[in-house]
Amino acid sequence: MKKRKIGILSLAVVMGLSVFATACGSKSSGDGAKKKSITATMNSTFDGKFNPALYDSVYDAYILDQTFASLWKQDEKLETSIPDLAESWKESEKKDGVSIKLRKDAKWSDGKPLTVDDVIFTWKFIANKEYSGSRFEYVESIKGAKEYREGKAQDIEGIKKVDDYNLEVTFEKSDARDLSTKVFSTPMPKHIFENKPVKTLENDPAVKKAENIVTSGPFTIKEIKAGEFVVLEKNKNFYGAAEGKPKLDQIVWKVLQEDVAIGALKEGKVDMVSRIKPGSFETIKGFKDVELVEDTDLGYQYLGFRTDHPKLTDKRVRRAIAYAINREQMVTGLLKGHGTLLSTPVSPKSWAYSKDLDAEYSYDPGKAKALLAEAGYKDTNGDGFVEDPSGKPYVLSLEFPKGNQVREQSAKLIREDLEKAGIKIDLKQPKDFAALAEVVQQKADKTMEMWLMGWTTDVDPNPKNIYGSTAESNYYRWKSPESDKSIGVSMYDQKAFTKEGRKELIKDWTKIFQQDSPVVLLYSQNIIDAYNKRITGVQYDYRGALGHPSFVDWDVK
Amino acid sequence: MVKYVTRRLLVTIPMIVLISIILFTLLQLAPGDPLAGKLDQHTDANYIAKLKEDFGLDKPPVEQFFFWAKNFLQGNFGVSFDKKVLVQDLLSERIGKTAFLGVVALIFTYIIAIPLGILSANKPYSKLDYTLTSASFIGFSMPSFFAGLLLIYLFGFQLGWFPYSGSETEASGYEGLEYIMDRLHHVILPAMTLAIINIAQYNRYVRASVLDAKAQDYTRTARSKGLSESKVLRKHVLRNALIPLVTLFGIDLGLLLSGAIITETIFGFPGVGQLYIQSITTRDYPVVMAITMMTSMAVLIGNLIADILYAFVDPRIKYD
Amino acid sequence: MSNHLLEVKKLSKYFPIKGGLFKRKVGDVKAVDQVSFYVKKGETFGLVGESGCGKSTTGRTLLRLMEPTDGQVLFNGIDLTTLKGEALRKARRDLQMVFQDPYASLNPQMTVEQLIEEPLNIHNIGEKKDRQDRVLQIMDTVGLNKNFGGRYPHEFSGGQRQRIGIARALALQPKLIVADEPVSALDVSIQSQVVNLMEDLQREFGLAYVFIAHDLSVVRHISDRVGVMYLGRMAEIAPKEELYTKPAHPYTQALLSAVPIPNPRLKRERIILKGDVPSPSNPPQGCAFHPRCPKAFDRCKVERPEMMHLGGEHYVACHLYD
Repeated sequence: MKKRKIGILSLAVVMGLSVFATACGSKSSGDGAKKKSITATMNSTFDGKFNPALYDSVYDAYILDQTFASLWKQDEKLETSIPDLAESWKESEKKDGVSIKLRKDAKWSDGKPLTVDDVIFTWKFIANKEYSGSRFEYVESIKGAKEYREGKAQDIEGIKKVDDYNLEVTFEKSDARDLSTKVFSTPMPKHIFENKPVKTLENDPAVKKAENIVTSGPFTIKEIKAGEFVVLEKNKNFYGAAEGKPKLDQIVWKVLQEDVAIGALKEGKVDMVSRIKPGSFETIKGFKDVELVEDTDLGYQYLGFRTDHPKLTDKRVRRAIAYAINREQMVTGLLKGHGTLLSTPVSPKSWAYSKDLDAEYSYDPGKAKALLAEAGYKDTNGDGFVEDPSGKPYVLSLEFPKGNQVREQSAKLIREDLEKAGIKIDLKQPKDFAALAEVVQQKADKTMEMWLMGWTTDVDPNPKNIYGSTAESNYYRWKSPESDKSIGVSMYDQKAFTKEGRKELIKDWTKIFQQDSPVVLLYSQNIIDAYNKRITGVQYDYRGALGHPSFVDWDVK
Repeated sequence: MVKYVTRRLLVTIPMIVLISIILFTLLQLAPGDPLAGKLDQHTDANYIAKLKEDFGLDKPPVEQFFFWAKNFLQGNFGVSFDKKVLVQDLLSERIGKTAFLGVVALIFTYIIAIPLGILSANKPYSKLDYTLTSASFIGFSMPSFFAGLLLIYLFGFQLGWFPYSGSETEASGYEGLEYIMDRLHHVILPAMTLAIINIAQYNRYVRASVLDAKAQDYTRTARSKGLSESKVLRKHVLRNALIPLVTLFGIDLGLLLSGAIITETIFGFPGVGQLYIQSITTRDYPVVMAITMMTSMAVLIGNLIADILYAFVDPRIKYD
Repeated sequence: MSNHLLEVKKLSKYFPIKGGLFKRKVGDVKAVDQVSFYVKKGETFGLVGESGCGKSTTGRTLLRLMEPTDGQVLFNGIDLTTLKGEALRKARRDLQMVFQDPYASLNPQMTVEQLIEEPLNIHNIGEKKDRQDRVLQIMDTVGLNKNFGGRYPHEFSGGQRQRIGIARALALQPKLIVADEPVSALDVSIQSQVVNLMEDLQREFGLAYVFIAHDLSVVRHISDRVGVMYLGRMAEIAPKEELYTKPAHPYTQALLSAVPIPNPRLKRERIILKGDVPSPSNPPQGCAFHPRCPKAFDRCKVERPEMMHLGGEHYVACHLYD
């Protein structure tokens, strides 16, 4: 027995030692030269489709942002104004065309020059009938793109190559929206993709194998381990390389569950953590050498109504609900202040945002009751809850998805608030997101009344995609000719072609929206990122620190 | 033996068919459209319709099943709804990692649990035995995510002995033996996390089994022959007590994979478990189907292997 | 005295009873309580009693398969209870055991040859070749087909297995074999074959047996002398004929009255005992048998009877004979 025990013990010891030996070895043999390297984390795994036209996941987007250059980038007001691959561009007066001038020093990471041909190729790729991604909308505005897609034309009529670095684009019609919504701005390398099948490109090495991905941005992809990490390496062919950009030699993106990532950040084992939950803010605040930054995210949570449901057709009821919900409490209580109250679908960060509209729907249970009474909803049997105008019990159901803790908690607060105002709420059990989304999207569904969900807002403030009467995403079934007309004006009217004019028009629409109240906008959660102070040059905005274009200036002490 | 194995394999086939039918039905019944999760103001109806057509989701369920089954038999597991890439590509990157994790976890289980169980059984109801018993209960009732975080904190952060995440060092440039050792170094904490529950279970099992064998007449016989205590233990007690462990092997395979789901997520260990949980939340049915089918088959084959092994280690068992 | 191969003096084996939250000892099960007897060279000593009376424990304690709580076991004048390590191992060569369940007593992982050979290996008897010859010889002796040496115990019938058990015990040429109900688990038709085998072996090798059984008729067949146990204590010891014809202890009388007599014309009064066997953890005061004894009187309730010599080799523990 003794001998046996000793045998097993010694085996364990030998195994342990050999492992330690390599551990120690690895530290010294790893990065010999003084590489400027940082480690950033994402809390869920990337898909690994590293192609600007094909990716779906926000985590792939982090990688793409740092590896692919775009024609232009957005500033902190969500306006497309920062030149990148495009040295300059000029929109026509009527906003029905744009001429783009590319910088001549832009190259692909394999050394080939980046020209107008690459841009055109990318647009045609997306407009191709076989294209399996979801971004046709970003080229749809170009004149002739639809015909090309339907096979009625050999070329896209509205694209005109002037020379290798100059390009003119004509749109289907005058359109006030931001350039970024009309023109897909991140080119793919034509010389890599031109002879590949469009339909099954997701499975091509040029999309998912580090050694085959050709990029145009500050970094190239050096190593990919599915579900684990992506290593980015300084792109020596990046146009900014001459000015010493990027300053870092390497960025390692690691997939790390949030709790572990925070621990690793504290220990100095990782440098940057993205999209931290508000609940972890206080913990990280106490860390030495760690900087926490937050800003309003480009997204919001809402309580949606089926405006065609008999219980909810009266807009006074919807307005009453909006007044009855104490949204302030959600921001201060649930989000611990790491969020922003929201009253318009236009992001508070946007140039088009009108602050004075925020006054609408501040918490006012008295007004809620008055509106209900006006609409004929009164408590006739004295049970504390209103009955409908015909005297029947009035109960509204509220659905919400699992997964977002703050949202789950907000459902309970909403019920409390509404019941205080006299509306009986049937709070359903939370469903899986996919399960709830399926019902929300069903056009024939008659069961839903109210639900909680969120939107990511677009760079452009145009509300048509969500609130237009015929919009696919108008799950509220809000059909308002007045709103549709207003949206049309804000897109196509002469007045919309100036920034100030458009802002006014969008404000006009927002008022209509607020009066009709097809949804109750709840709050915008802040995007919270944290990083080790050894990294310098970090800036942040609604994209957080890790998604901010300033990453080319990141450096380490 | 050959006959037996053939027969068992033949029995396995209807079982797999049944499992696939049940699984497919369950997934059909589960609420949630795989494409509904792609809520985005830019997803237009045409795009979703096109995807449905591409994935064959516009066809009736029975037809979908046969389509799936036909492809599955040809080794084509379909295209991931969520990532739109071939399922086999997704899996091939990950299976090896999970298998490695599982094997190391099993080795840990055996080299730790068996000696501890024997130690317990050697002096039943002693202080040592009670200590090990209590430790087993703690280990058994400790949730994996907690055990994982604890190990990360202790050995990854405080002591810094092992990497706290991942399956290999990023951009290391390791090759050959160095690479293998790096992988081994990374797998130790997750494997330990995975092994903890198993160790607790096995430890109890070995203890009971050894105590049982020690009370057998043949053990008394051995002693009465004048065998030294260590030989009695080795040649008579352990040989008989450890055989039943073989039967646990098949079950272990299934347990390891289900355990790997949480462990891999915590450790950012890119195995099948991590992919599985992701695929379930996104209703990525081709991936869920493929992983579940593979696990079922692994458990069935694991059981078969266990049964065959049993015949080798226990002369009383004969198959014909 | 010197011709006593085995002498057991006041042998006791108590099992502690633990209870309560902290598993403290709260009492004892007196499985074997001050049992004394002797076995002569080449004789068979039968040990009988109801199940639970401590006869098997006595057998096991003799061989130190269980540690005795108290008392002495003198084998050839050496006290086995004090032996340790190597000395104990050596002593065990001379004392072997045959178990009730031949299957359970044979390691299922070993072939017959390995089973019989193992004790030879342990004690380094002879060369490898000699040992193999010896194994075959023993198999032959106990009536096992020599060609079956490579088979495993489960491939044999019950009777054959017990032969293996015996062969295994014989391998070391012991002087004493403790046979713990060696035939109880066997079919009646096989029982006599095995008993006969044991008798043959006894004659051939001059073995002494301690033959433990609950069946008086089997014991009568094989034994020279018989000890009767009740509740951990020895009630009566006598030469076979004397015990069966002139039982002295009321318990022995009751037991014998229950043995079927082959001749149906012979009539005998059957003594029915009252009540159940009391628990050995809480044995009655005085004579353990008194609550069930038809002849019990006051003294039996308070004083434990000592072993008394009735003449010859007949001993009894009963106040009736004081």
